[in-house]
This record gives sequence, C-alpha cells and structure tokens, in this order.
Amino acid sequence: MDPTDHDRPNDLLAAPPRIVNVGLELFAVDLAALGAKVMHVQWSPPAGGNAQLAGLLNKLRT
Amino acid sequence: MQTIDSANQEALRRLLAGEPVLVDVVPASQAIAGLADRTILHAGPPISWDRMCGPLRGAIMGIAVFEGWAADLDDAASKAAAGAFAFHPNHHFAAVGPMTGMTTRSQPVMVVENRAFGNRAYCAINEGLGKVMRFGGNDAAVLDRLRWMRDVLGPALGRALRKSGGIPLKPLIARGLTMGDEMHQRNVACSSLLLRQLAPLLAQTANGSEDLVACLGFIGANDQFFLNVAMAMGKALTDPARDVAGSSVVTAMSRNGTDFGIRVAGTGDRWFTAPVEMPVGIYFPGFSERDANPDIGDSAIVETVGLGGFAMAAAPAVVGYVGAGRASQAAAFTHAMAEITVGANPAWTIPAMDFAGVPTGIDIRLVVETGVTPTINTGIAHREPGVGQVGAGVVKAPLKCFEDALVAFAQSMGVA
Repeated sequence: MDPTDHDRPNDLLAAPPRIVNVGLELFAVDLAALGAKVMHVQWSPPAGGNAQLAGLLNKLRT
Repeated sequence: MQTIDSANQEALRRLLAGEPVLVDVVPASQAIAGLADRTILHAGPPISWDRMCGPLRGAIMGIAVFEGWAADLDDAASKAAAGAFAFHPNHHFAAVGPMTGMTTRSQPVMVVENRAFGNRAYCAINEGLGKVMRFGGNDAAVLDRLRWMRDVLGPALGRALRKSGGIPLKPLIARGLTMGDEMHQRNVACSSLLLRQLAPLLAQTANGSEDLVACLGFIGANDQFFLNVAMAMGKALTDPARDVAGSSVVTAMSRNGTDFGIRVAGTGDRWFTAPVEMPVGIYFPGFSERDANPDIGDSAIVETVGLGGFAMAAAPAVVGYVGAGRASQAAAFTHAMAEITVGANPAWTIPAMDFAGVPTGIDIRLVVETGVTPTINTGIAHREPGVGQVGAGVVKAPLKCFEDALVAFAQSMGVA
C-alpha cells in the first residue's frame, strides 16, 4: 500500500455503504428495504452442511 | 485410471453425439420386444397397484377396457387389484410416456432411432388437451379417441414417416428453441414445424380425404403434439449413456405420481426414489391446488437432455404459463441449471443468452453439493381418476434421490 494513502479521506467510510451479502437472503432483503445498495450471493455449505455427504463429495471430487 | 470427470465427459459426449430421427409409428406389440399380453407400462419408477395415485389407476382402468382385458372400468379395477395385469415402468422397455404414460400392445407408438448409436426409443402419440388418458381420463370419449388413433392416425403417420425416410429431430429442436419452445410445456413451434413436414407425406399416403382431413386437423389443433416426439427423442439420446462406468451423470428422471425416481450412469439401471413433490403453478378456471395430483410422468426425460425447465430462457412465454414469475426471470432458471450440469449442447442454443447451449448432463455431485435441484416444467393432473388436466406448473426434483444416489455411487467407486 502506498504510505501516502493514510493521508487521504477514506471513501469507504465517507460514501454510502455498498454491500455484498452472502448466505442468508433475509439480511439482503432487509437492507434493500432500508434503501441500501446490496447484492445477494446465494451460498450454502456443501451438501447443506451434511458432514457425511460432504465427506463423500470430497472423495468423489475427481 | 479413468476419473469421474472423464467418465462424465464420455457420458456428455454420448448425449451430444446422438442423431435422433423420427422413423415410424407402429403398434407397440410390434416395436417393443417383451411387451406381453395383459402387461401395462406406466410412467415413473416401479410401483404396485395399492400405492398408485388416482390418475394412474384411472388410466390403467381405461386402458384395460381399451385392450379388451376388462368388461368395464369397475371390472378393470377389480382385476388390477387381484393381480391380473403386470405393471412395469416404460423405462424398462426403451419407452416413455407423458403423465400416466400408458403403453400397451395395441397402442401405436412413435419410433425414434438414434442413428449414431443404433438404439430405438418409443412413445405413444399425444392425445391432445382436456380429458385424456395421460391425465387419468377414461370415459367413452377418451377410449373412442384412442381407437381412432390406433385405427386411423397411427397407421397414417406410420405410412407417412416410412415414405419420408425419417425426420431428423436435432435440427428441428434447434429451430424450435429459437422460436420460443422449451419442448415440455411449450411445443407450438416444433408441432407446427413437424406438421409442415408431415402434411405433404400424409397427403400422399392417406386412405382417402376424410382420414387426411381428420389427421391434419387433429395434429394442427394440438400445440403439445410434439411433446411425445421430444420424449421419445430424449429416451433415445439418454439410453446410450446408461452404462458409462464411473459417471455421476443422470440418465433418467421420472415420476409415477407417488415416487420420483432417477437413474445414474455409474450405478446402471438402479432407481433412486423419493416421494414426489407438488407442482407450484397456475390452475385452469374452477380448479385449485386442492384438486391437484402430485408430480407424475416420464416427461422429465426432456429436462434430462437439457430441454424443458433447463431451456426456460428460450421460452419466456412459458414462465407465465407455468406461474414461475416474470418473463424477464426466464434466464435465471437456465443459469441455475448450468450450475448442476457438466456441459452445454452446442447444437441447441438459446438466442436470448447469446446463443449459449442448453445446460446438459446433470451431475449428482453438483446437485448434492449445491442443493440446487433440477427444475421441471409440468402439466398438473386432477387427483381423481377421469377428470384430466387442471393446470400447469414447475416442480423440483426431490434432493433425497440425488443424496441416495450419491451414497450408492460412492459405494460403487469404493470410497464409501
């Protein structure tokens, strides 16, 4: 990082938030309802969190 | 050692290399080896009479009367319950059938030959809309229509197709996709394109103008006429992939109104089943979801080859028809299916997606990992026998089929 960056105003804090929401869509819906700019990314743990199936998937990955 | 990925590429290659051609229409007894007397082929995985839903029982009662195996519907039901008929899935005989999927000896079946691999697949002729046997209809009008199809339409189509030398289906489907069909709930373009080819052949081979007018009128009035052709084609395309060892690609998805079943290349002809789900959709006036039967039919074979719900982006009009949202959301369905498939079909492309190929080759590993299950566009049957179609909608394949298949596949690969 350029050391002079420390001297500049931080756009991230000064500008309205731009949000990427991962996982639970409800958070994205609530933020959008409040007028926030939000992009939702659908994500869930592999095999819905089922450890046995996730283990098999790892062994069948080739 | 061959990897699963390379086995899946071989399964995909076989799915894409097929050259399906509609070659004939003949009585099922002539086409399907082993289709014995008093044997009734039905949609979906195996099921016994006591577990069958209303429409499937209604269709079986009707077809038994049609074949002369029962005096009336009540007699047919008694005989069915007493074990007088043998029930088998269409899929066990290289056949498929929409909704209840009745196939018996004297019904005419369309014959699709996969000329790249030499196999053939079969499907009965689409009866039209309204009260029909595929939705469990079994009254006198339904049976009279089946008799006319057996005695007039089937033989006429057979003569016309034999004169044609066969109608290649791959280019026809490609054109239909550019005209707004997805080949499950919208077949208006392909039905019209097929009729355009059949009409002069029928005119040359018909037994008199009265029969010709009736045949042309019947096909021309049925927007879903092509569905059964597309289904036989789907079966002809998927069968060569059934024995690709080490592949996790799905070779069949099918429902009998009680169970949803899938088959996977690497586990051969074993069925993995789970209870069918209820379609979500739009109902015809006077009907509601209280009237609906759960998901039924072999027609999900079209999704298995990348059409139907997988090609939703090609058919924005269908999104509204099946109650799946706005037309602008059509592409989202196809994008989602691309997440669970191993490739795309360069021969079948979608204009609205910059001519991307339809997603093809469902990988059970991707389904289980993502939790994204195949989207199937479907008609909705009334739950009582004899009423018919009450709506159209979208249904998801149950995740449990894919989870169970994954465990069995892992065992077959020696890692479970």
